[in-house]
Amino acid sequence: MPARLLLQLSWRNIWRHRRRNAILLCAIAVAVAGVMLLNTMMRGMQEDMMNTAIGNLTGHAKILEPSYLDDPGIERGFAVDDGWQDDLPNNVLGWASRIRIPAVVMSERETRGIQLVGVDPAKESISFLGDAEVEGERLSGPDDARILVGALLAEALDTATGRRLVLVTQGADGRTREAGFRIAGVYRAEIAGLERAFLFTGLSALQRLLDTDKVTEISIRIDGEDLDTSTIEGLAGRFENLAVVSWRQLERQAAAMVEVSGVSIYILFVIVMGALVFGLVNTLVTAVMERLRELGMLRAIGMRPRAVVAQVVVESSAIMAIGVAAGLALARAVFAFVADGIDLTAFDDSLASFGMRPTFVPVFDIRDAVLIAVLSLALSVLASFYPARRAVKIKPLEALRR
Amino acid sequence: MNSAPPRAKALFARVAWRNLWRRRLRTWMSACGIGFAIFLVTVGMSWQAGTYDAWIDSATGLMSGHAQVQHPAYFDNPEVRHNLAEGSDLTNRLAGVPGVVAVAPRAEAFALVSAEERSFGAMVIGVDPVRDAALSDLSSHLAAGEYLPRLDSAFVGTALATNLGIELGDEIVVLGAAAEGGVGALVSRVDGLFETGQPEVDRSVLQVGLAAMQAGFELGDAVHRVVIKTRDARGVTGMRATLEAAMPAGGRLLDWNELLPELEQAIQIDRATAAMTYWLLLIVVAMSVVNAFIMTVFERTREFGMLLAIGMRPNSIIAMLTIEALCVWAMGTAIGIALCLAVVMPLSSVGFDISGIEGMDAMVGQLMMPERLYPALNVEVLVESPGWMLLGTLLAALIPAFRVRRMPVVEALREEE
Repeated sequence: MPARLLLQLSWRNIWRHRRRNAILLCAIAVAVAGVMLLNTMMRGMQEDMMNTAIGNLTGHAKILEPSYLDDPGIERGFAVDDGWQDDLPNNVLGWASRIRIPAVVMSERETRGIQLVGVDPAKESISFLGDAEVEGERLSGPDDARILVGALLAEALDTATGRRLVLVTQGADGRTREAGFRIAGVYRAEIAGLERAFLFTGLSALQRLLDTDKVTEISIRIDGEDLDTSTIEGLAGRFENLAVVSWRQLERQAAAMVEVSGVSIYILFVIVMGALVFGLVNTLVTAVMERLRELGMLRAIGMRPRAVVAQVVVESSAIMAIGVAAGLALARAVFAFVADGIDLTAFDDSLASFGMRPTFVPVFDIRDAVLIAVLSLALSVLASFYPARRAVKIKPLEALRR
Repeated sequence: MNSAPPRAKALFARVAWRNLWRRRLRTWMSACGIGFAIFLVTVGMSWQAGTYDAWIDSATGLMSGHAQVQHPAYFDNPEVRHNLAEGSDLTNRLAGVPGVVAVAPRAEAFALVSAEERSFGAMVIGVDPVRDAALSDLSSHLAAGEYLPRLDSAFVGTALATNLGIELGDEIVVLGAAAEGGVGALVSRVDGLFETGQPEVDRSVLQVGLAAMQAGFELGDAVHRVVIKTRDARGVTGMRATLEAAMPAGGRLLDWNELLPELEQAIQIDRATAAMTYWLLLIVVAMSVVNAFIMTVFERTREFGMLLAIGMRPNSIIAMLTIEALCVWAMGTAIGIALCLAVVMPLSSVGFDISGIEGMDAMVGQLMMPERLYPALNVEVLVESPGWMLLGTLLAALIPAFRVRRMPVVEALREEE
């Protein structure tokens, strides 16, 4: 039986029962649109957690002295030959060397434990510091011996731009260093925790205080695929005795959540589409039963069983295809309303503890849309199996007698 | 139907039941669809209930307790001078409140902790070891040594100990701002190490004896928090009034919702995401039930025409269809609940080991989740989704049924079957 005829026949059958097929279509469209919209939210969440994890001074990878993670301190610093950054792969967006060590900060009133970070401000476009809002002045360069304080920390310490803070930390020789720093400015970060955790100063200025020419980390940002690790692995060969650690190991919680949400996208799909199968099979079986006589006639005049099966499969796939298209279009239309972001400031504390920003931006991933479409069509073929078998089992004579 | 005698009602039900079995597959598919949705939603909800209980238990159990009494300014601005005088008296009074299981006073300060050559900033917490062990899990996270065996002992996080380069038996010096503005200091011996798995806590907390802390930081009998554990974390809100009556006028009572705002919000977010999935599921299934009934009504057009012709009221036909819908719903609910019970009942006593799931092990440690989750069944869980499904099914039966009211009898009779 020619394919065109087959398609035409199935198509007309769909139109013969407009009402019930319309409802089935609606059910498919609602299911697909719902799955797709929930998917955009999960993808958005995933992206958000990933960006936050990578932007909060981690980068896609860090070059570290292997024992630094267990025992962060300037004794775990290292110096690299200047040539390492020559001929970096094209997809490396940037890198920044830093000193990052624990320190105690004291104002006239209060004492807090923080991470003291020595940076070259020009390199920090790769981290959140690059586009953080700063009240007062930014650091002018690696030799700037003033400090940048997070807004929440400044509040807790009861201090402000222009005042002084005393920092206590440990020098390269293991002895305690205590020094006063003037506050150049107060920065704001989207994740409140960062403001409490990090205090920035010039890298060279900090090296002078600690009597060292070393750094404790080099953070690297890569363009494109956040989940791609090949570039990171490629970098590992450039450094002897140093570890190249990817963000997944550095931010294990965020990496775990990204992974879990990636899996739950599929679970969600299976659940909702599974519910749809019951309705789909129901409708298809009815469609076959109603046409028993007709199918018997077709068989009697010589239609092959395979063609009968094909008809049922094509009919089911056609309904599914239209439903999926409508559903994805619906999802896309709804998505357009929320694409700019949803304000979730009411959940600020919790989102921050999950590593998310207060404005939530869903992400419409076209690959997921394609995946949903393909899986749905596969499902419709699967669901038509039983009805098709029923159709083939018809004995032409019996069917004609009805 | 109201005027019909009881026997007629039974007849109706029997006819409706037989009607269902004229299309056996369709009935089963509808019932299974409903059962599938109810099963997933009930299992999901009992899983959630178990998870939230576990979150609350482990989050409040580590340090914060179910509620705390503090100086009114301490929560927003934790300075040493914002303390509650007469801590022991307050502790005793709160311990006498009915429903309170344990009470523990704490004095704390952020301080510089130094071992021989190294120093780190840390939160130093003075605790009464006996009282604190009754409401906080911290002592059970013992990694080495003992939990505060002596008056001058210190209980230190493993990461902090590593950073300081200290071992059991070493001496540490704690320096910070005292209550009266001078320098507070105390010397302690490290007698125990703890490891909670939460880097924040392991890196920046140490506990010392309450008396040593109060002496070293010139606090007298003053404390910063009196931590309260009640019989049930969720019942704390209802106990506010009795607790507040036992407090001094200047105190501030904070329950775990206020102490750990991210916990309640995390629960709300999780609940909202799950609710969206449930709604989607229920709507999709309800639509397929609607479809099944539309097909049924169209197939039976002739039959309905006949019934109308011999004098049956349209309302009676609608009632019959409603009974059919109810039967399908009841079958689906039975399937769904039975499956749910079969899955959840064993799990709710044995628990489900989530640490084996890839990616979860990291979350177990850092999101304060226990390794085993116990899904919790309750009436609410078992009633809610069947309730919504019932509404959906009745709607499904009623929409096509109204066609019966406008059915032209003669044409209906002529309809092909």
